[in-house]
Amino acid sequence: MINSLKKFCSFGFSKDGSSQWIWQRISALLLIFLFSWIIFSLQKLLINFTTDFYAWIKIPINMILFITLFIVVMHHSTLGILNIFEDYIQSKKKKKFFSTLLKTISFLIIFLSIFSVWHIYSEII
Amino acid sequence: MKNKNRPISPHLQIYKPQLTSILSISHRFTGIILYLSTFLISFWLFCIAFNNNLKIILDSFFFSNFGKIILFFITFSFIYHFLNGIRHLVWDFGYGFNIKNVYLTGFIIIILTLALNIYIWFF
Repeated sequence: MINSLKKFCSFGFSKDGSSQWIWQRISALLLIFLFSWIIFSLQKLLINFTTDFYAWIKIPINMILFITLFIVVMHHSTLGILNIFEDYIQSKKKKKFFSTLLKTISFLIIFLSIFSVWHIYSEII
Repeated sequence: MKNKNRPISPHLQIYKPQLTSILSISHRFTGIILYLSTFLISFWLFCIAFNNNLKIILDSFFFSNFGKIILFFITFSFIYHFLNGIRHLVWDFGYGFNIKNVYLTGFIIIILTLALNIYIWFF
């Protein structure tokens, strides 16, 4: 029980394949809802996208859901690409190197995006 | 007979292409495209937050034909990955696993992807 809880709390990044499989599905389910929401709310802004996006992201619930979406997207895609590495890279050293590189890049992308969104959100017009 | 560098599954070079295998590998391929496109979105967010000049350059790039082609492939990949992802989730819940349904849903995914992408870009 504690062992399976540990696997679950690793968010799919433990060496165990089942936790990766489960988290890939959990994030996929979350993404269906989040993407449906963002497509329906952003299509209203299409005429004057950038200007309207500033106003849209300043609404707290939009900002929180947008950041959540970004984190879940990065989590889902990082797990997916780790899975591809698992299938196609034979050498363990190379696999470890590319996995670490991928996680670092994903983390930086999340950090940069949240930092930018927060900057827009807290900016006084 | 230990060969440490033997390929791990799936052997794409020798696998006979079928609708099912093509759809499966396309799911991974579009996933990689979508991962790379998050770099673009992140960069766009950075530009609109911090650098207006870069934003103007980025906007003009995506209004050019080359930029539109890139966006076209991104929307195509997104729609395909989204719909096929739902198909995979339905399989994970144990439905639609017989050969007839696998092919039927595969065809539906292809037609829906093309139809939605044409609708987004031309209507």
